[in-house]
Amino acid sequence: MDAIDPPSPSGSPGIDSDLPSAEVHDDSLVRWMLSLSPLERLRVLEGFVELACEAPGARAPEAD
Amino acid sequence: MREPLKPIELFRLVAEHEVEAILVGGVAAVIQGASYTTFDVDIVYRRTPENIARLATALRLADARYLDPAGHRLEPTAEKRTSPGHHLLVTRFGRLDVLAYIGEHLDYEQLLPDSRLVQVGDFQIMVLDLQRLVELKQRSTRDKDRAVLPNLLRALRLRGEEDDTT
Repeated sequence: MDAIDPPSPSGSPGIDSDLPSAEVHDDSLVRWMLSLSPLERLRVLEGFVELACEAPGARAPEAD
Repeated sequence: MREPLKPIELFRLVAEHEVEAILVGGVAAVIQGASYTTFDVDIVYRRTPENIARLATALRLADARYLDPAGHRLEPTAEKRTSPGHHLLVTRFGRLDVLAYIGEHLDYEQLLPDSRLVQVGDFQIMVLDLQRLVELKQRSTRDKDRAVLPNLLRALRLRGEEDDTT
């Protein structure tokens, strides 16, 4: 039986970087956001807020 | 309970009524590529009588009323908006902070040189540049402003690397 590779500490195989894993993920997320149009970025935010609204125990957040 | 946030519809209304306003805060960061979570829209508006009248029309159509923990319905009249304070509103598109200024009394005219028009679908909105947003957060003494700085700086750095001009 072949050995199973342990899961990547970053949770995402193929990323080769000296940066801490959280930093890599944050960079990936921002790079993805930058690849979107402004309209698409707003839709991402809308979707997230909608998800947060549906979360059990959701409460009014503080404003910026 | 959190309210939904529909900034696209809100900005369309603002654009259709030719309201002179600059998008600032978290949504301004998101629209420029930051990975940032916010639950309200912040705008700084030009405080001329003509613009206040246009803003009043847009707010009426957005069903805007003041945030009132007691549940009273207080609608933002043009008279109230001429006062120099901030107006924290709830609209049918979500929470909206209508601000006379941000930071150290930076009003519409002072922020405009550091703002740019951003195309959002079939309309445009004026947005405070990410670099300026970062500078304002860096000067802020509020913990929550300082907390989001790494996120904004990351977006600024990566935008520079990718020469993103959107």
